[in-house]
Amino acid sequence: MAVRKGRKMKPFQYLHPTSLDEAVGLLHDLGRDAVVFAGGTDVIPLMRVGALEPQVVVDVKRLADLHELQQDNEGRLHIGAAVTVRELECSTVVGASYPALATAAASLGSYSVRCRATIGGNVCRASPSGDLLSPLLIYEAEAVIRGPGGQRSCPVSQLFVGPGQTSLEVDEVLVKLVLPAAAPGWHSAYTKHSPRRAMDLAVVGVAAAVGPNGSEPRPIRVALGAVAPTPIRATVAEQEWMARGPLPWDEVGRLAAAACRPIDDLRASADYRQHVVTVLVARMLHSLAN
Amino acid sequence: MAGIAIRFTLNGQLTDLEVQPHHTLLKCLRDELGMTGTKEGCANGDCGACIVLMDGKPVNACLVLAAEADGHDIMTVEGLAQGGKLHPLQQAFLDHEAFQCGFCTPGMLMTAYGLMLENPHPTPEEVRFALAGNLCRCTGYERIVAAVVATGEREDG
Repeated sequence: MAVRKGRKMKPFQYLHPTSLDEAVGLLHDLGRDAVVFAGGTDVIPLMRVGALEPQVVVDVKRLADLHELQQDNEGRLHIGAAVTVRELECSTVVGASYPALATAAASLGSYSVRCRATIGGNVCRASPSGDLLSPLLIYEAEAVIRGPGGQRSCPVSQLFVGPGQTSLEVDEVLVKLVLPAAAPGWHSAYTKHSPRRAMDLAVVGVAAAVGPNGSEPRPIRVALGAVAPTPIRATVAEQEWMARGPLPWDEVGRLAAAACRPIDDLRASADYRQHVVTVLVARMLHSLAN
Repeated sequence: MAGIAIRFTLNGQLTDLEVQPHHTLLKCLRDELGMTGTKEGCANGDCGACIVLMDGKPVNACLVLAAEADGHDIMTVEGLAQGGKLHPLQQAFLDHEAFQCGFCTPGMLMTAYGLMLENPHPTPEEVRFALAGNLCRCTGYERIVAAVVATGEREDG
Protein backbone atom coordinates (compact mmCIF):
# COMPACT_ATOMS: atom_id res chain seq x y z
CA MET A 1 0.00 0.00 0.00
CA ALA A 2 1.37 3.37 -0.96
CA VAL A 3 0.40 5.80 1.76
CA ARG A 4 0.39 9.35 0.56
CA LYS A 5 -0.13 12.60 2.34
CA GLY A 6 -3.28 13.99 0.89
CA ARG A 7 -6.65 15.41 1.59
CA LYS A 8 -8.75 14.18 -1.27
CA MET A 9 -10.12 10.77 -2.02
CA LYS A 10 -9.59 9.43 -5.51
CA PRO A 11 -12.85 9.05 -7.43
CA PHE A 12 -14.85 5.86 -6.99
CA GLN A 13 -18.26 4.53 -7.84
CA TYR A 14 -20.83 4.36 -5.03
CA LEU A 15 -23.30 1.49 -4.89
CA HIS A 16 -25.90 0.78 -2.23
CA PRO A 17 -27.36 -2.70 -2.61
CA THR A 18 -30.68 -3.38 -0.97
CA SER A 19 -30.32 -7.12 -0.39
CA LEU A 20 -27.57 -9.26 1.10
CA ASP A 21 -27.49 -11.45 -2.00
CA GLU A 22 -27.05 -8.38 -4.18
CA ALA A 23 -24.23 -7.14 -1.94
CA VAL A 24 -22.45 -10.50 -1.97
CA GLY A 25 -22.86 -10.70 -5.75
CA LEU A 26 -21.29 -7.27 -6.18
CA LEU A 27 -18.37 -8.14 -3.93
CA HIS A 28 -17.87 -11.40 -5.77
CA ASP A 29 -17.78 -9.69 -9.16
CA LEU A 30 -15.66 -6.74 -8.06
CA GLY A 31 -13.20 -8.57 -5.83
CA ARG A 32 -10.43 -6.32 -4.57
CA ASP A 33 -11.77 -3.38 -6.58
CA ALA A 34 -14.50 -2.93 -3.98
CA VAL A 35 -14.56 -1.96 -0.34
CA VAL A 36 -17.45 -2.52 2.06
CA PHE A 37 -18.68 0.75 3.55
CA ALA A 38 -20.79 1.20 6.66
CA GLY A 39 -20.03 4.00 9.13
CA GLY A 40 -17.16 5.36 7.08
CA THR A 41 -15.31 6.52 10.18
CA ASP A 42 -12.28 4.37 9.34
CA VAL A 43 -12.74 3.82 5.59
CA ILE A 44 -12.85 7.51 4.68
CA PRO A 45 -9.65 8.41 6.59
CA LEU A 46 -7.98 5.37 4.99
CA MET A 47 -9.12 6.45 1.52
CA ARG A 48 -7.88 9.98 2.13
CA VAL A 49 -4.31 8.79 2.65
CA GLY A 50 -4.45 6.21 -0.10
CA ALA A 51 -4.33 3.19 2.20
CA LEU A 52 -7.53 2.09 0.47
CA GLU A 53 -8.10 2.95 -3.18
CA PRO A 54 -11.27 1.15 -4.22
CA GLN A 55 -12.87 1.53 -7.61
CA VAL A 56 -16.23 0.92 -5.98
CA VAL A 57 -17.57 1.65 -2.52
CA VAL A 58 -20.36 -0.77 -1.53
CA ASP A 59 -22.58 0.80 1.12
CA VAL A 60 -24.19 -1.96 3.19
CA LYS A 61 -26.36 0.25 5.40
CA ARG A 62 -29.52 -0.43 3.37
CA LEU A 63 -29.37 -4.13 4.21
CA ALA A 64 -32.09 -4.69 6.80
CA ASP A 65 -30.38 -7.92 7.96
CA LEU A 66 -27.48 -5.85 9.29
CA HIS A 67 -29.53 -3.67 11.63
CA GLU A 68 -30.87 -6.25 14.05
CA LEU A 69 -30.50 -5.55 17.78
CA GLN A 70 -32.68 -8.12 19.42
CA GLN A 71 -32.69 -10.93 21.95
CA ASP A 72 -33.99 -14.28 20.73
CA ASN A 73 -36.12 -16.78 22.66
CA GLU A 74 -33.02 -18.28 24.25
CA GLY A 75 -31.76 -14.93 25.47
CA ARG A 76 -28.98 -14.64 22.90
CA LEU A 77 -28.36 -11.11 21.66
CA HIS A 78 -28.18 -10.60 17.90
CA ILE A 79 -26.25 -7.49 16.91
CA GLY A 80 -26.31 -6.62 13.22
CA ALA A 81 -23.02 -5.53 11.69
CA ALA A 82 -24.42 -2.10 10.84
CA VAL A 83 -25.62 -1.37 14.38
CA THR A 84 -23.87 1.80 15.46
CA VAL A 85 -21.55 2.06 18.42
CA ARG A 86 -23.90 4.75 19.78
CA GLU A 87 -26.82 2.31 19.72
CA LEU A 88 -24.73 -0.16 21.72
CA GLU A 89 -23.69 2.58 24.14
CA CYS A 90 -27.34 3.48 24.78
CA SER A 91 -28.90 0.01 24.69
CA THR A 92 -30.46 -1.10 27.98
CA VAL A 93 -30.02 -4.80 27.22
CA VAL A 94 -26.33 -4.34 26.36
CA GLY A 95 -25.78 -2.26 29.50
CA ALA A 96 -27.53 -4.81 31.69
CA SER A 97 -26.29 -8.08 30.23
CA TYR A 98 -23.00 -7.23 28.45
CA PRO A 99 -21.61 -4.27 30.43
CA ALA A 100 -18.07 -4.65 29.09
CA LEU A 101 -19.43 -4.08 25.59
CA ALA A 102 -21.44 -1.05 26.71
CA THR A 103 -18.41 0.50 28.40
CA ALA A 104 -16.22 -0.22 25.39
CA ALA A 105 -18.80 1.35 23.09
CA ALA A 106 -18.94 4.52 25.20
CA SER A 107 -15.13 4.75 25.15
CA LEU A 108 -14.81 4.67 21.35
CA GLY A 109 -14.04 7.90 19.53
CA SER A 110 -16.49 10.65 20.27
CA TYR A 111 -20.27 11.13 20.39
CA SER A 112 -20.53 12.07 16.71
CA VAL A 113 -18.15 9.29 15.61
CA ARG A 114 -20.18 6.75 17.60
CA CYS A 115 -23.33 7.86 15.79
CA ARG A 116 -21.82 6.49 12.57
CA ALA A 117 -19.19 3.89 13.53
CA THR A 118 -20.53 0.33 13.48
CA ILE A 119 -19.71 -2.85 15.35
CA GLY A 120 -19.18 -4.58 12.00
CA GLY A 121 -16.64 -1.95 11.06
CA ASN A 122 -14.79 -2.34 14.35
CA VAL A 123 -14.70 -6.13 13.90
CA CYS A 124 -13.73 -6.13 10.22
CA ARG A 125 -11.09 -3.43 10.72
CA ALA A 126 -9.54 -5.92 13.17
CA SER A 127 -7.33 -3.37 14.82
CA PRO A 128 -5.41 -5.03 17.67
CA SER A 129 -6.69 -2.23 19.91
CA GLY A 130 -10.32 -2.24 18.68
CA ASP A 131 -12.39 -1.39 21.73
CA LEU A 132 -15.35 -3.66 21.01
CA LEU A 133 -13.21 -6.68 20.28
CA SER A 134 -11.94 -7.86 23.68
CA PRO A 135 -15.50 -7.68 25.12
CA LEU A 136 -16.73 -9.79 22.19
CA LEU A 137 -14.02 -12.32 23.07
CA ILE A 138 -15.01 -12.66 26.72
CA TYR A 139 -18.67 -12.95 25.75
CA GLU A 140 -17.64 -15.63 23.21
CA ALA A 141 -19.61 -14.03 20.39
CA GLU A 142 -20.29 -15.87 17.16
CA ALA A 143 -19.88 -14.11 13.82
CA VAL A 144 -22.51 -14.79 11.16
CA ILE A 145 -21.16 -14.34 7.66
CA ARG A 146 -22.83 -14.47 4.22
CA GLY A 147 -20.98 -15.37 1.08
CA PRO A 148 -21.80 -16.71 -2.37
CA GLY A 149 -22.10 -20.21 -0.93
CA GLY A 150 -24.56 -19.18 1.75
CA GLN A 151 -24.33 -18.38 5.43
CA ARG A 152 -21.74 -19.60 7.92
CA SER A 153 -20.88 -18.95 11.56
CA CYS A 154 -17.64 -19.01 13.46
CA PRO A 155 -16.38 -17.80 16.84
CA VAL A 156 -15.48 -14.13 16.40
CA SER A 157 -11.96 -14.99 17.61
CA GLN A 158 -11.41 -16.89 14.35
CA LEU A 159 -11.94 -13.71 12.35
CA PHE A 160 -8.86 -11.98 13.71
CA VAL A 161 -5.74 -13.26 11.96
CA GLY A 162 -3.38 -10.29 12.11
CA PRO A 163 -3.24 -6.53 12.59
CA GLY A 164 -5.97 -5.18 10.34
CA GLN A 165 -6.55 -8.62 8.82
CA THR A 166 -9.58 -10.85 9.01
CA SER A 167 -10.25 -14.32 7.68
CA LEU A 168 -13.21 -13.02 5.67
CA GLU A 169 -13.11 -13.78 1.95
CA VAL A 170 -13.27 -10.83 -0.40
CA ASP A 171 -16.88 -11.72 -1.29
CA GLU A 172 -18.14 -12.24 2.24
CA VAL A 173 -20.15 -9.83 4.35
CA LEU A 174 -20.28 -9.93 8.13
CA VAL A 175 -24.02 -10.05 8.86
CA LYS A 176 -24.15 -10.00 12.65
CA LEU A 177 -22.62 -11.01 15.95
CA VAL A 178 -24.56 -13.33 18.22
CA LEU A 179 -23.74 -13.13 21.92
CA PRO A 180 -24.71 -16.11 24.12
CA ALA A 181 -27.33 -15.41 26.76
CA ALA A 182 -25.84 -13.70 29.79
CA ALA A 183 -25.36 -16.37 32.43
CA PRO A 184 -26.57 -15.45 35.92
CA GLY A 185 -24.04 -14.47 38.53
CA TRP A 186 -21.35 -13.27 36.11
CA HIS A 187 -19.79 -9.84 36.48
CA SER A 188 -17.84 -8.30 33.61
CA ALA A 189 -16.13 -5.02 32.77
CA TYR A 190 -13.90 -3.30 30.21
CA THR A 191 -11.05 -0.91 30.92
CA LYS A 192 -9.52 1.25 28.22
CA HIS A 193 -6.11 2.48 29.26
CA SER A 194 -5.27 5.55 27.20
CA PRO A 195 -3.78 9.01 27.78
CA ARG A 196 -6.98 10.85 26.79
CA ARG A 197 -10.48 10.16 28.07
CA ALA A 198 -11.86 10.36 24.55
CA MET A 199 -10.75 10.34 20.92
CA ASP A 200 -7.87 7.99 21.62
CA LEU A 201 -6.83 4.43 20.89
CA ALA A 202 -6.39 2.01 23.76
CA VAL A 203 -2.77 1.67 24.81
CA VAL A 204 -3.99 -1.43 26.63
CA GLY A 205 -7.55 -2.77 26.63
CA VAL A 206 -8.76 -5.34 29.14
CA ALA A 207 -12.10 -7.12 29.18
CA ALA A 208 -12.61 -9.38 32.18
CA ALA A 209 -15.39 -11.49 33.64
CA VAL A 210 -15.79 -13.44 36.86
CA GLY A 211 -18.40 -16.15 37.26
CA PRO A 212 -20.56 -17.06 40.23
CA ASN A 213 -19.43 -18.66 43.45
CA GLY A 214 -20.28 -22.31 43.47
CA SER A 215 -17.45 -23.89 41.59
CA GLU A 216 -13.94 -23.89 43.02
CA PRO A 217 -12.36 -21.87 41.64
CA ARG A 218 -14.91 -19.43 40.24
CA PRO A 219 -14.57 -19.27 36.45
CA ILE A 220 -12.82 -16.24 34.96
CA ARG A 221 -12.38 -14.88 31.47
CA VAL A 222 -9.82 -12.33 30.37
CA ALA A 223 -9.28 -10.78 26.93
CA LEU A 224 -6.69 -8.19 25.98
CA GLY A 225 -6.46 -5.52 23.30
CA ALA A 226 -3.48 -3.60 21.95
CA VAL A 227 -0.91 -6.06 23.30
CA ALA A 228 -0.66 -8.59 20.46
CA PRO A 229 -1.15 -8.70 16.67
CA THR A 230 -4.83 -9.41 17.35
CA PRO A 231 -7.13 -9.06 20.36
CA ILE A 232 -6.50 -12.19 22.45
CA ARG A 233 -7.98 -14.30 25.21
CA ALA A 234 -5.53 -14.79 28.05
CA THR A 235 -5.97 -18.52 27.62
CA VAL A 236 -2.88 -19.61 29.54
CA ALA A 237 -3.84 -17.47 32.52
CA GLU A 238 -7.39 -18.86 32.47
CA GLN A 239 -6.15 -22.45 32.21
CA GLU A 240 -3.62 -22.03 35.01
CA TRP A 241 -6.37 -20.52 37.15
CA MET A 242 -8.67 -23.49 36.53
CA ALA A 243 -5.86 -26.01 37.14
CA ARG A 244 -4.19 -24.45 40.18
CA GLY A 245 -6.67 -21.84 41.40
CA PRO A 246 -7.69 -19.88 43.19
CA LEU A 247 -4.45 -17.96 42.71
CA PRO A 248 -3.58 -14.46 43.95
CA TRP A 249 -4.96 -11.95 41.43
CA ASP A 250 -1.44 -10.55 40.94
CA GLU A 251 -0.33 -13.98 39.76
CA VAL A 252 -3.16 -14.10 37.24
CA GLY A 253 -2.11 -10.64 36.04
CA ARG A 254 1.46 -11.86 35.55
CA LEU A 255 0.28 -14.96 33.68
CA ALA A 256 -1.86 -12.78 31.39
CA ALA A 257 1.05 -10.43 30.75
CA ALA A 258 3.37 -13.33 29.96
CA ALA A 259 1.13 -14.35 27.08
CA CYS A 260 1.18 -10.87 25.50
CA ARG A 261 3.32 -9.92 22.55
CA PRO A 262 3.11 -6.13 22.69
CA ILE A 263 5.09 -3.78 20.49
CA ASP A 264 6.87 -0.51 21.05
CA ASP A 265 5.06 2.21 19.18
CA LEU A 266 4.46 5.92 19.44
CA ARG A 267 1.81 5.38 22.11
CA ALA A 268 3.74 3.17 24.53
CA SER A 269 6.61 0.75 24.92
CA ALA A 270 6.11 -2.98 25.00
CA ASP A 271 7.43 -3.06 28.58
CA TYR A 272 4.90 -0.48 29.69
CA ARG A 273 2.05 -2.35 28.06
CA GLN A 274 3.14 -5.60 29.66
CA HIS A 275 3.25 -3.93 33.06
CA VAL A 276 -0.15 -2.29 32.62
CA VAL A 277 -1.67 -5.68 31.78
CA THR A 278 -0.43 -7.16 35.08
CA VAL A 279 -1.92 -4.25 37.00
CA LEU A 280 -5.26 -3.95 35.21
CA VAL A 281 -6.02 -7.67 35.08
CA ALA A 282 -5.35 -8.09 38.79
CA ARG A 283 -7.29 -4.96 39.69
CA MET A 284 -10.30 -5.78 37.55
CA LEU A 285 -10.59 -9.41 38.63
CA HIS A 286 -10.35 -8.35 42.25
CA SER A 287 -13.06 -5.77 41.75
CA LEU A 288 -15.35 -8.11 39.80
CA ALA A 289 -14.97 -10.88 42.35
CA ASN A 290 -16.04 -8.64 45.27
CA MET B 1 -17.41 10.75 -13.26
CA ALA B 2 -21.18 10.46 -13.44
CA GLY B 3 -23.03 12.24 -10.68
CA ILE B 4 -25.57 10.68 -8.35
CA ALA B 5 -28.94 12.39 -7.98
CA ILE B 6 -29.90 12.82 -4.37
CA ARG B 7 -32.88 14.31 -2.59
CA PHE B 8 -32.73 15.25 1.05
CA THR B 9 -34.04 17.77 3.54
CA LEU B 10 -31.63 20.56 4.42
CA ASN B 11 -32.70 22.75 7.33
CA GLY B 12 -36.27 21.81 6.63
CA GLN B 13 -36.10 22.45 2.87
CA LEU B 14 -36.40 19.65 0.35
CA THR B 15 -33.23 19.80 -1.76
CA ASP B 16 -32.38 18.08 -5.03
CA LEU B 17 -28.75 17.83 -6.03
CA GLU B 18 -26.35 15.88 -8.21
CA VAL B 19 -23.21 14.89 -6.32
CA GLN B 20 -19.94 13.19 -7.10
CA PRO B 21 -19.67 9.78 -5.39
CA HIS B 22 -16.31 10.58 -3.81
CA HIS B 23 -17.32 13.94 -2.39
CA THR B 24 -18.11 14.23 1.28
CA LEU B 25 -21.22 15.83 2.71
CA LEU B 26 -18.91 18.53 4.09
CA LYS B 27 -17.68 19.47 0.62
CA CYS B 28 -21.20 19.37 -0.75
CA LEU B 29 -22.60 21.60 2.01
CA ARG B 30 -19.87 24.18 1.71
CA ASP B 31 -19.05 24.24 -2.01
CA GLU B 32 -22.35 23.35 -3.64
CA LEU B 33 -24.96 24.54 -1.18
CA GLY B 34 -23.21 27.59 0.25
CA MET B 35 -23.64 26.35 3.81
CA THR B 36 -20.28 27.67 4.92
CA GLY B 37 -21.21 27.73 8.59
CA THR B 38 -19.99 24.14 8.70
CA LYS B 39 -16.19 24.21 8.84
CA GLU B 40 -13.41 21.93 7.66
CA GLY B 41 -10.84 21.55 10.45
CA CYS B 42 -9.12 18.23 9.95
CA ALA B 43 -11.27 16.42 7.35
CA ASN B 44 -10.59 13.26 9.37
CA GLY B 45 -13.27 13.09 12.04
CA ASP B 46 -10.96 14.23 14.81
CA CYS B 47 -11.82 17.89 15.46
CA GLY B 48 -15.60 18.20 15.25
CA ALA B 49 -15.64 21.51 13.35
CA CYS B 50 -17.75 19.89 10.62
CA ILE B 51 -20.44 18.39 12.85
CA VAL B 52 -24.00 18.61 11.53
CA LEU B 53 -27.12 16.70 12.49
CA MET B 54 -28.20 13.78 10.33
CA ASP B 55 -31.68 12.58 11.28
CA GLY B 56 -31.27 14.37 14.58
CA LYS B 57 -27.89 12.82 15.43
CA PRO B 58 -24.53 14.61 15.37
CA VAL B 59 -22.20 13.30 12.68
CA ASN B 60 -18.88 14.47 11.24
CA ALA B 61 -19.81 15.72 7.77
CA CYS B 62 -16.27 14.96 6.61
CA LEU B 63 -16.95 11.28 7.25
CA VAL B 64 -20.26 11.13 5.38
CA LEU B 65 -20.33 10.77 1.61
CA ALA B 66 -22.58 13.35 -0.04
CA ALA B 67 -24.44 10.49 -1.72
CA GLU B 68 -25.40 9.10 1.67
CA ALA B 69 -27.53 12.16 2.41
CA ASP B 70 -30.19 10.87 0.02
CA GLY B 71 -33.46 10.38 1.86
CA HIS B 72 -32.17 11.87 5.08
CA ASP B 73 -32.68 15.00 7.14
CA ILE B 74 -29.65 17.27 7.46
CA MET B 75 -29.44 20.23 9.81
CA THR B 76 -26.56 22.70 9.81
CA VAL B 77 -25.84 25.66 12.06
CA GLU B 78 -27.71 27.86 9.58
CA GLY B 79 -30.83 25.98 10.62
CA LEU B 80 -30.67 26.90 14.29
CA ALA B 81 -31.98 30.43 14.14
CA GLN B 82 -35.65 30.65 13.19
CA GLY B 83 -37.28 33.70 11.61
CA GLY B 84 -34.28 35.87 12.41
CA LYS B 85 -34.37 34.90 16.09
CA LEU B 86 -31.35 33.16 17.59
CA HIS B 87 -31.79 29.74 19.12
CA PRO B 88 -31.43 29.75 22.95
CA LEU B 89 -28.11 27.89 22.56
CA GLN B 90 -26.76 30.62 20.28
CA GLN B 91 -27.98 33.30 22.68
CA ALA B 92 -26.33 31.48 25.57
CA PHE B 93 -23.01 31.37 23.67
CA LEU B 94 -23.29 35.16 23.27
CA ASP B 95 -24.30 35.72 26.89
CA HIS B 96 -21.47 33.53 28.19
CA GLU B 97 -18.84 34.72 25.65
CA ALA B 98 -18.38 31.10 24.65
CA PHE B 99 -16.27 31.82 21.58
CA GLN B 100 -13.24 33.77 20.40
CA CYS B 101 -12.32 33.03 16.79
CA GLY B 102 -15.60 31.20 16.29
CA PHE B 103 -14.21 28.42 14.11
CA CYS B 104 -15.23 25.58 16.43
CA THR B 105 -18.53 27.25 17.28
CA PRO B 106 -20.84 25.79 14.64
CA GLY B 107 -19.67 22.27 15.50
CA MET B 108 -20.03 22.98 19.22
CA LEU B 109 -23.56 24.31 18.70
CA MET B 110 -24.66 21.36 16.59
CA THR B 111 -23.23 18.75 18.97
CA ALA B 112 -24.86 20.53 21.91
CA TYR B 113 -28.14 20.79 20.04
CA GLY B 114 -28.02 17.09 19.24
CA LEU B 115 -27.23 16.26 22.87
CA MET B 116 -30.14 18.33 24.11
CA LEU B 117 -32.59 16.62 21.76
CA GLU B 118 -31.97 13.47 23.84
CA ASN B 119 -31.01 15.07 27.14
CA PRO B 120 -32.62 18.51 27.57
CA HIS B 121 -30.96 19.26 30.92
CA PRO B 122 -27.41 17.92 30.75
CA THR B 123 -24.99 18.18 33.64
CA PRO B 124 -21.57 19.76 33.09
CA GLU B 125 -20.03 16.26 32.98
CA GLU B 126 -22.52 15.13 30.35
CA VAL B 127 -21.82 18.24 28.29
CA ARG B 128 -18.05 17.71 28.48
CA PHE B 129 -18.43 14.08 27.47
CA ALA B 130 -20.69 14.98 24.54
CA LEU B 131 -18.28 17.71 23.40
CA ALA B 132 -15.21 15.45 23.70
CA GLY B 133 -15.02 15.30 19.91
CA ASN B 134 -15.13 19.10 19.48
CA LEU B 135 -11.74 20.78 19.75
CA CYS B 136 -11.32 24.46 20.63
CA ARG B 137 -7.96 26.20 20.53
CA CYS B 138 -9.13 29.49 21.95
CA THR B 139 -11.47 29.36 24.88
CA GLY B 140 -10.39 26.56 27.20
CA TYR B 141 -13.94 25.13 26.96
CA GLU B 142 -15.26 26.42 30.32
CA ARG B 143 -17.59 29.05 28.88
CA ILE B 144 -18.80 26.68 26.19
CA VAL B 145 -19.80 24.12 28.82
CA ALA B 146 -21.39 26.87 30.94
CA ALA B 147 -23.41 28.13 27.97
CA VAL B 148 -24.79 24.68 27.20
CA VAL B 149 -25.59 23.90 30.82
CA ALA B 150 -27.28 27.30 31.20
CA THR B 151 -29.42 26.65 28.13
CA GLY B 152 -30.62 23.43 29.71
CA GLU B 153 -31.44 25.23 32.92
CA ARG B 154 -33.68 27.79 31.26
CA GLU B 155 -37.29 27.12 32.16
CA ASP B 156 -38.38 27.78 28.60
CA GLY B 157 -35.33 26.03 27.08
